[in-house]
Amino acid sequence: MNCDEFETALPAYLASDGTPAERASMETHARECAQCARRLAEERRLDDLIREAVGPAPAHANELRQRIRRDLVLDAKRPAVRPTRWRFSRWLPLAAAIAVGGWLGTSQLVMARDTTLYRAAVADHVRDMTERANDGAWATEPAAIEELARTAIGTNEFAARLRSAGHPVLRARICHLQGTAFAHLVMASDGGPVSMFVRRSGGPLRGPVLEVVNDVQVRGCAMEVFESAGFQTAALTVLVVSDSSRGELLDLVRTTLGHLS
Amino acid sequence: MNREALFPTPVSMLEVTDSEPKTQVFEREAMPHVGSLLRTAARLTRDAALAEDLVQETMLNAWKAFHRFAPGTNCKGWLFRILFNLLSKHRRKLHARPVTVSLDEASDLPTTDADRPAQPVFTQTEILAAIDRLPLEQRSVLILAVVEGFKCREIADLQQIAIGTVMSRLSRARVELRATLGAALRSDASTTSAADRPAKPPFTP
Repeated sequence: MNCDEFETALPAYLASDGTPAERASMETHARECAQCARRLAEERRLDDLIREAVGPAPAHANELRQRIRRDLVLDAKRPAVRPTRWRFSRWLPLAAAIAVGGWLGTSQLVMARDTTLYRAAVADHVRDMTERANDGAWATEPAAIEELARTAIGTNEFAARLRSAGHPVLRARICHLQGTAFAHLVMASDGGPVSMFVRRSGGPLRGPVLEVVNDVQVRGCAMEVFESAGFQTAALTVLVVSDSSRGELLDLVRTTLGHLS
Repeated sequence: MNREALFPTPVSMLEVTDSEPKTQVFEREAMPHVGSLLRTAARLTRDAALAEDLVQETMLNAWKAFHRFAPGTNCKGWLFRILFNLLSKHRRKLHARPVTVSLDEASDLPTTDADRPAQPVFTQTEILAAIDRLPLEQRSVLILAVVEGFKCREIADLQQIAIGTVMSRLSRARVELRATLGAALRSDASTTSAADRPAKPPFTP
């Protein structure tokens, strides 16, 4: 290891990251290089200063704990309800009926106003963030993600193209929106987590048209703090949800479309 | 490979939920982290009341979703992830919030290392002000890594960003703080609280 490599690896080393071999390599270099040893000592001193300044947990944390316990007691006394996914499923027949009604009417106006699929996608995105992030049902390894994509949408090329577009998939699972199976892919972005729901192209995608990119209509809508957008290619139907701005979301959609075509 | 093989049911959750009351498991696994959550939320929002509200909401959300949590896994990381999801709703507001200090503290604000080479001693208020002046993204990874002890990969997971982004933000935060506090780092000087500083001699005309 040379001094440049030491400097590059220093933040990860200080955050207790890296393999034992990498850490040993850092320590060996620090023993042999007085300049890097001084850098390491300075960074450790900086960490000490930060920890001393931020200090221990605030003294009123105990009062807050008591308030939280009261909240939990109140919540526990409420009538028992089923977990969200089952409560949500009760509305699926209604959502499906609305979707069928829209199809029977074949009205462009109804099609343009039907946002139930986006609402379902936003609900799944929110549940991912608050409830299911740690439930062990996600594929997180690249090989498992590609296997999932192949199972759900018949090709693993989609995840590979996202990765080459600079949006690697962090994890994936199968979900059902309005009774249809989608691959739910979660990606990182500077604006926060982005959920992408992908299935083989089926019926027409509804919702207000936001813009047209390369002759492909991009539809979508805003719901509370979330933005959603969707489009269809010859092979795939894709929905995208995030809490970034509409401009940022459409940039991502354009990039994705560019890499799909 | 079929879907069941890809997504096995997390049986451990069901076993523990059935054998021990939810309140006991929650008290043991989640409640000890309230202090850490509050400390981080306060540093990131710079608003004690908002921080308390966020932590209270975090714990209530965690309670409602606790049947999804697998005991024995990283509860602290799970709670911080819920907190950061709530924080993201306030993100634009937090970005826009200026650093504010009381008039009493204003004289302690650090400027740059070069402005004060003769006295490489910083009060905790000065160091906190330097941390608070970091952009929110850098401040959050710094607090999570240095104060809360999360690894870069864990921070990437709970903030839903790439690990390279975590490392570059951490690196930029350190560079910025070194520029402000450099003298204290290079010397053997230690921080002193304002009360520990020698009192100024009384003013005599």
